[in-house]
Amino acid sequence: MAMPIIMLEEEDPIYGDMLEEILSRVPLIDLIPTLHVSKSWNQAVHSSLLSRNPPKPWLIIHSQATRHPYATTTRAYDPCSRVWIKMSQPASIKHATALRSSNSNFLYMLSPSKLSFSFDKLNLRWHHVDAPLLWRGDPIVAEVGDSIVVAGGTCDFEDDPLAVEIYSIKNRSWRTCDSMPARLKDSAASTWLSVAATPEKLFVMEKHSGATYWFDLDSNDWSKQFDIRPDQRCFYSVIGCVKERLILVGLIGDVENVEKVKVWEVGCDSDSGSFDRCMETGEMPRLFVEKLESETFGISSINICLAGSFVYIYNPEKVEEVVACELIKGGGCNWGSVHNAVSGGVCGMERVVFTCADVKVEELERALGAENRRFEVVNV
Amino acid sequence: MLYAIFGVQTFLQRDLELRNLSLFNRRKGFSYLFQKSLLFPFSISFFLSQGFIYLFLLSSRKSSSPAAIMSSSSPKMITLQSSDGETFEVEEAVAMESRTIKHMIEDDCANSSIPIPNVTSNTLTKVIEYCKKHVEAKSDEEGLKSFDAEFMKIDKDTLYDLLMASNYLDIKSLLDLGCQTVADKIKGKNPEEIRKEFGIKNDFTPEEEEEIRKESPWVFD
Repeated sequence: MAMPIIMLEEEDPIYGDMLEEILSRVPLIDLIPTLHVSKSWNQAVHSSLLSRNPPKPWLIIHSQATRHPYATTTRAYDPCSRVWIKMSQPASIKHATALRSSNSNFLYMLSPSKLSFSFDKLNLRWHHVDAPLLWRGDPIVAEVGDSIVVAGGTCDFEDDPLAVEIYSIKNRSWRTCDSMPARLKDSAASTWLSVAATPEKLFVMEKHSGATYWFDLDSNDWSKQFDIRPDQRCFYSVIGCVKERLILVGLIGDVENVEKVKVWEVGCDSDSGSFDRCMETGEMPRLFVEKLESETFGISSINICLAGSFVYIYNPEKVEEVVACELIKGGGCNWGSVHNAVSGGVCGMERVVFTCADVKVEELERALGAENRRFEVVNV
Repeated sequence: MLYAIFGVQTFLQRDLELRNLSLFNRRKGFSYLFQKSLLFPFSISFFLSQGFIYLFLLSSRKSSSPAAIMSSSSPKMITLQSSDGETFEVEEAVAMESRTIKHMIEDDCANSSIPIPNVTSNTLTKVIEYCKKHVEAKSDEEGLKSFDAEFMKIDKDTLYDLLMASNYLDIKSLLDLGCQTVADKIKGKNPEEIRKEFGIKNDFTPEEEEEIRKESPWVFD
């Protein structure tokens, strides 16, 4: 690692490769001020981020109080520098109803009159639109391309439990379309269905049975039923989509005793619309499976959020432990765990919602600048 | 030792001669000749073997092979010379903490003192202190951690000199330690504080500063 050393009196004491090496050890959040020190430092920061220390997706935890005024605290974990950052929310965002997340960085709140949602990486900008026609308690909501699809979860007895409505962000209007497949009649809610979305398709999987369907936004069609679980012993599975890759995470064994947690990558042929292959990417080491087990319920369910090459897996019953799976190019994965002191525990006084985002330094800068947020490194 | 061998050999020869005499007394003829003929090659081989032993000892004493040196108890010392002419004697193991020096030793360029042109004697003293501690207390993680923390309580200029030295000498652990220490000095500071800390000149033009002021007013907090 020999770097050229030229001693010049007028130059900055630290520059070039040495400066980049030092900057690669500074957490992303602390690199923002360094961008404004001088032109050479600005260049060194960008070069360091590109080659020495590329950022990794952040795990973001939103804790919402279950009582009015539903105050929300947001903490983010940076896996590169292993620091927790508290993100302040401006007073203008009022969380009037339950906060929910879907498909990794889509946050929404649904009330009888309004649907509020945010899909930017750090969930800084919120959009407020009229609620869909049918009142829904627990629908599946997903951002597909530049539309929001709301399906199922209807509360009124007369309403079709499988009704689907789509909101176009561009046209600012709702439209209805074909209902979900009849087989999902008794499980058409986000409690029972896991969703993943590409810009053109919405994938829906029944968590317990594994029955999978996709919905094409252009043709407004639902597909036939697919069973993409490769392992018959899998009793619970969820799906997620990142960069056009469909990831399947499943629990193997039974509810009393989860033997394994496996991660697969599922290939979907865009022409025929069928799932052509399912490759096992990795199996969670026993040590981390035990971290997910809650004392009373074991692991009865899991949920995931994904961004970049990271899949964060957590047990909604035990939110203080999250297992991170980093997908390696060419196959395989690295496992790690994130412990957080933010727990939904405290007798369920908080609702905990997870999102995940591939945060870049430009987005952080914008958050600090235009959006006027404050970030504070906390000791958790 | 040679004298001893000579002495023994003489004694044996004499012994044989005496025996031959007795034989001569007892009987003459073929047996006597036989004894004599045996004696001759025996003494020749004895002389030859002594010669070989002597030559072997001579060569091994003169050779400078490591085997001969390692048989002694003191470790090999390497001499390092700083840019201002001062020399430092260090154990080979300590010097080998630097990959640059390690390669020099392996390539056999380290017979006399090794010049370190970019490093002053003050900095080299600190580097050697670091390497020595890390060789001595290799397995004591806790001890090394507290040593490192104390070691880094130095002024800025010494720290930068140490960084440059550890880079040139390719001592990864010291470079990591130094870089992390400087990185920790950057954390939590705003741009003006960073400039003051590191003596950096702000080379953004007034127009660019105005842009920053508009987009990121927090920079000037």
